[in-house]
Amino acid sequence: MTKSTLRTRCAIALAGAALSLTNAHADEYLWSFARNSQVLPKGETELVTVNTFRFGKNTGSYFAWDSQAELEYGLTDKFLISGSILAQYFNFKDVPFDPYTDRRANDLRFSGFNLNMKYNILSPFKDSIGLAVGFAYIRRDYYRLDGAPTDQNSFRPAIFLEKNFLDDTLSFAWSTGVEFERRRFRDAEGIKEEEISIESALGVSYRFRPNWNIGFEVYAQGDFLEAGFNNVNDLNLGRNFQHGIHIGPSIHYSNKKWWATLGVVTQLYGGPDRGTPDSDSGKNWDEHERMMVRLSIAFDF
Amino acid sequence: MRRRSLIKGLVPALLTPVGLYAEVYLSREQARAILLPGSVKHSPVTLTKEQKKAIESASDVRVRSLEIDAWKSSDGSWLIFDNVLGKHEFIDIAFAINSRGQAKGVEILTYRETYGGEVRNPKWRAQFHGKTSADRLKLDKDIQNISGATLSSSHITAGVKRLLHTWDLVLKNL
Repeated sequence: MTKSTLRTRCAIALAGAALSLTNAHADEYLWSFARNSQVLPKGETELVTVNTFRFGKNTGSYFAWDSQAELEYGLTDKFLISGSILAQYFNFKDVPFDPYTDRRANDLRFSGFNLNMKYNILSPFKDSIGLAVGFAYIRRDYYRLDGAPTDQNSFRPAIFLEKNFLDDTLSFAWSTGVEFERRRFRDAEGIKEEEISIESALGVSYRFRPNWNIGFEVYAQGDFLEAGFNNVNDLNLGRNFQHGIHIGPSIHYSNKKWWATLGVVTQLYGGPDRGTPDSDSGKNWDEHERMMVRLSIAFDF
Repeated sequence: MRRRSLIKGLVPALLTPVGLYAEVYLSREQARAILLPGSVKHSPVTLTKEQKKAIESASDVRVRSLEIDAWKSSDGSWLIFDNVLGKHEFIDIAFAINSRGQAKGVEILTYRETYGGEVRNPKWRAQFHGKTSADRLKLDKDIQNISGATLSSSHITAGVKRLLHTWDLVLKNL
């Protein structure tokens, strides 16, 4: 791809992100991955852009950019709906993926969309704990890790817990989502997969001065293959195919009109086992990277 | 050298955007005219550490500052300019209490938050009228919460509770 083509595609992706709908976790993101239990008030709208930059495998070179633009709307004071579009860019070489990936390196494209909802049950500001539940439908046309053409449909229930201290300046949040994924790879002889992906994050954040928060989080993600979720009699988690745990700091700025969060996490531990082709020194290089940087920026209307 | 000067200038600028989007509803003078019309005397108070502890213990609300910007009228009423934490910045309030320790009113002076400006609603603020330090002031029970403005409702309620106990433990004896 030429530089001018790349620039054009980047511009298209960013413009699309700015104009369209996106991801659904509501209110301000104090961390890169952990989410609190809050939602937008009734009738309020927020545009949230989330850009994640993923770097490094155990071999070769790997860079991925996941871009998401989300429009959130407070349907009631407790119920939020949102929609998002996804775009992705890859530039990698000699990574531990299958041979199909060579053709997809250095490529930017729209990759899918999300439809989300989040319902706040308990408020952290007046109840002893904040609690919300969420549900998302995710459509992906390209695989998250290497951009392989795929038809993927996922459903993702989620739970959000929050506990605040010191006049709500010290905040703890724990969020977990379980994504039920069904995909068919379009260029690998139509291989079909059913997978359960579990994502969990625990964050602590402190408002050290007006408008500013500093935080730290632990983020874990794991996949379970050969899972069964077609009917209630066939429910099983399958086998743990891979998992990775990441940790890192975040900084958050917010004011009346907009907010932004910058966070970095590095892989602390990954599996399944040491010595397997996908793991090295207790880390997982198949579905996890050495480091992720995430920048979220939002505007209130 | 020029680059260093630029950085020196930029860093404080980036770190000091407080009050960038402040909504000023009332000046201090306007609030005083509403809450405590007539002659008042500036009577600032500095709490001792023991008084701070006693107020925190009685109100179950943290005291962030030992300084009280208080004004006293000839009939023994007090007017206090105070602030409580909003989601992003401080919410500036004025609070008046009569000589019997009953709340006379709360006014919102400056509001800097994205949402929750409904706390300015006179009907909501009227819930505090007549409250004393003997009242629990529990949000959603004694004071109605404003849905969609829960943090502001909660922190203003806690602020009023703290000031009622400040009067009871300190100001009434002055």
